[in-house]
Amino acid sequence: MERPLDYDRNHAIHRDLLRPLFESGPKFYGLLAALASLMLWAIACWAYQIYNGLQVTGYNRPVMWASYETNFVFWVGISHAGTLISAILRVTGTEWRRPITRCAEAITTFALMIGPMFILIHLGRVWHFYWVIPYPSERGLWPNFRSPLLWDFSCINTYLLGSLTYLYLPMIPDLALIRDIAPRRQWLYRMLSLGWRGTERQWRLLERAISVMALIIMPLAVSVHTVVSWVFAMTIQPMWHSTIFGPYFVVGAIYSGIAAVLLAMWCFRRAYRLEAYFKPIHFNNLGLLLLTFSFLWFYFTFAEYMTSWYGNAPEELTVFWYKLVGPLAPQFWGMIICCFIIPVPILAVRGFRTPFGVMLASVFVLFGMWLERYTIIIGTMANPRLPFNRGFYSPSLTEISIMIGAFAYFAFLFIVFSKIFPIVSIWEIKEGYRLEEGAKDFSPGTVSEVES
Amino acid sequence: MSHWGMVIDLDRCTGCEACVVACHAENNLPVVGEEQSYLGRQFNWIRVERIIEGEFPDVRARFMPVLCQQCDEAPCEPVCPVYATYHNPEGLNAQVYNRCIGTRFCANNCPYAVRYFNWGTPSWDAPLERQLNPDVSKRSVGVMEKCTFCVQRIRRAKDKAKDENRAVRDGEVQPACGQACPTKAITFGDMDDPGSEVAKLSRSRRATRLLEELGTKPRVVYLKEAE
Amino acid sequence: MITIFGLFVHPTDALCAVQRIERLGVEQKNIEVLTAAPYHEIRVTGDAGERTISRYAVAGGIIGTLSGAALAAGTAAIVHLPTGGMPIVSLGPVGIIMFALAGLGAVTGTVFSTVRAAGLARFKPSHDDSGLMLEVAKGGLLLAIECGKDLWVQPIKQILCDAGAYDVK
Repeated sequence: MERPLDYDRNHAIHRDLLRPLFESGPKFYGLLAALASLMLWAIACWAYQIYNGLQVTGYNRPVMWASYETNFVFWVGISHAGTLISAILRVTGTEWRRPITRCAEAITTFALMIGPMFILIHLGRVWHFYWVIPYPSERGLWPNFRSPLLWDFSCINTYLLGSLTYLYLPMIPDLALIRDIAPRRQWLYRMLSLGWRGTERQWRLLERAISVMALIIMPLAVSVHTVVSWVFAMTIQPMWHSTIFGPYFVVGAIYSGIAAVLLAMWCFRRAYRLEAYFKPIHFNNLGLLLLTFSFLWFYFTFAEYMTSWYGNAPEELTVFWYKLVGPLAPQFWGMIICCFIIPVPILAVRGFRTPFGVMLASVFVLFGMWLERYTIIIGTMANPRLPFNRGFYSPSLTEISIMIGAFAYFAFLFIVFSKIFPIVSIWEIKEGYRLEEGAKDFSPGTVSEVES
Repeated sequence: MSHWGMVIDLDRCTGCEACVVACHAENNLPVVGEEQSYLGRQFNWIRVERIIEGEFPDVRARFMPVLCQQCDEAPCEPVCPVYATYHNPEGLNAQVYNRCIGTRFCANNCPYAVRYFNWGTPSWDAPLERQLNPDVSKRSVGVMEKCTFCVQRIRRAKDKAKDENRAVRDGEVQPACGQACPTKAITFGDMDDPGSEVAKLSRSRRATRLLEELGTKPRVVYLKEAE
Repeated sequence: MITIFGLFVHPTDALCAVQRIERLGVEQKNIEVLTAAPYHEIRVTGDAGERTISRYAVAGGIIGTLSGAALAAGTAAIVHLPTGGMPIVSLGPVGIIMFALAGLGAVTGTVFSTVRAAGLARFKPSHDDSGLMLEVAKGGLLLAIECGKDLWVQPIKQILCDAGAYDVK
């Protein structure tokens, strides 16, 4: 019997990309157990906090917002990776995007599941959180749409739903493929693939749906981080009340998002031996994008601080000097070093732009961007407009545990995801190979002749 | 309808903090103790701020009682996602404890930093729990609270006036801080009544308002002789 | 109704078979090409209905925008809180809520129309042979022809074999 044309190549693709789904070693279970215990500890800490109130944190007056809000903004920022890379690269038809879209979309979804969790954690009375949902109740409660928190609530929910869709739709053909060839768990893939058959009609509809979703998801992503920044910018607090906060936060979000994608790619490349998929060219190209954004980020930071300094308003300058030379100076300069001084040389020099180099730069960027949100929040919170109420802040063990638990949760979700779903889009890889060969195998004449 | 306002004469304030103690007694403010106080979690619906002027030895301390300014255009109100802080018909900046879910956004947008959060369940050391005011609710953990202009006293005066079929007389309502002030620095009354004491005082050339330039339209007037 | 399957290796062979089967009189909608990756050179379906997806997305967006406006208007109507002169719902926030709900509507419209148009989530057993689907997964092209007349069965099978199908069922 004759073998299908792409038999060997498909076999290799399936072998590489489906192996993690059905083969798990002791290392995997060990890692999972470690992450799970960190998560359980964080959950216990949260329970402790709910029982005792927020006095178990380092919060005080005037520092009413601190580490939880930092983490919230950080994770929502990470969630911008999937959108930019996947949607923009798809819309522009960039070919090298193929192996990285799934990974990016998954990051978006998981980061968006974790970020808003911190909004719940920071609430004084989390058991009443559903009061922000507009639904008719006998108590006559109704949310206040003028509050930027409501904007966050609406935009993040929309974005989460959009991201889930955007992750799921392109995954349907892969799920159907696994349904047909999987040695185990076929019931799961049969259910999730929704009866996908792979007819020409279905392919055309799916590709259109993905393009439409890419167009919808881009403005949603921009809106999400804009309203997140407006939670700060809409107040009248010094160094928060800034018109550039919207774009500044969006740029920072995309910056940290790309770094997160690169870090995840590097980890999967190592763990699942995916060197043939996450190639140096991906690290090189995304590294250049990261470089662009580090300049963009620096430009925004400079513009923001320069205007505050030149304006010379006493309450703004208090915050300004608090960050530059005051108690927040280690964090502030740490941010400048991690977000600009270290990554730029690594990313700008061709010789350093290796997968490892780019990964290293990404780790610094992620750390620096966390510090950026921290300095923005604490700097203003600790220095309110009236000079009598200067505050200080240091996070408590509870807060640090919950923060570490969130990172563990993210890793846990991502690893479990990669054990159930292929972390690289199988059909998109195949499509890429076919498009490369298309020019060789078929002259356009044959196709049109057949169509007519 | 009345439009309550307060005048604080800074030239009379001696910084004795009697108003602070009176407020604690009247409004069931918890006393959190030294450790929590150091962490910045004390409750002072009214607090006396100190401003030290000059260089040693020519030093002078000035005092300024700061409480909720009951702004007409309050920045804390629009940011609350659940309408827990709102403007009552008499223009008071009210806080509904039962509605509050504890986002603390209102406190972040208050330029006067006069909002206080219940970081833990409030408690009183014996025998303080025996003197709790039955007219004022005890707050629960996780809600925001702040000065109410002693709304329970305003209520009582209005009830009495209604029973006697008359309007509330000027000076009939007195918040705890004003009542306790030994130098009579704090005056309270109806700003809309041109004959009231507060209205007269607020027309003084010494009158000024705190952070007026932010457009919050504060309802507390400070009197201070220019130097 | 009988379904005849033919497995192909080369897209050109499959296309030739499709052409000849159509000439036999089998309607276009009864011929399907199943693949495990999109083959852009294969176009047997005239209009797959891609435009419906865009239309549903736009319609969903419009419905979302309107419900955002309705939500704001409703809030202004039912919430009777004195705000000291500020509106219950001001224009800027209304725009943001409308924007978010427009996105929600567009996403819902896209998902709904895609699932519907592509015939997904019907949850009835597929009539496709799992052995054949395994071949598709490996890279084969599966031609599925819904044959209305018994008379056509033999000629179609013949065409499939002649065109180079390596498995006909």
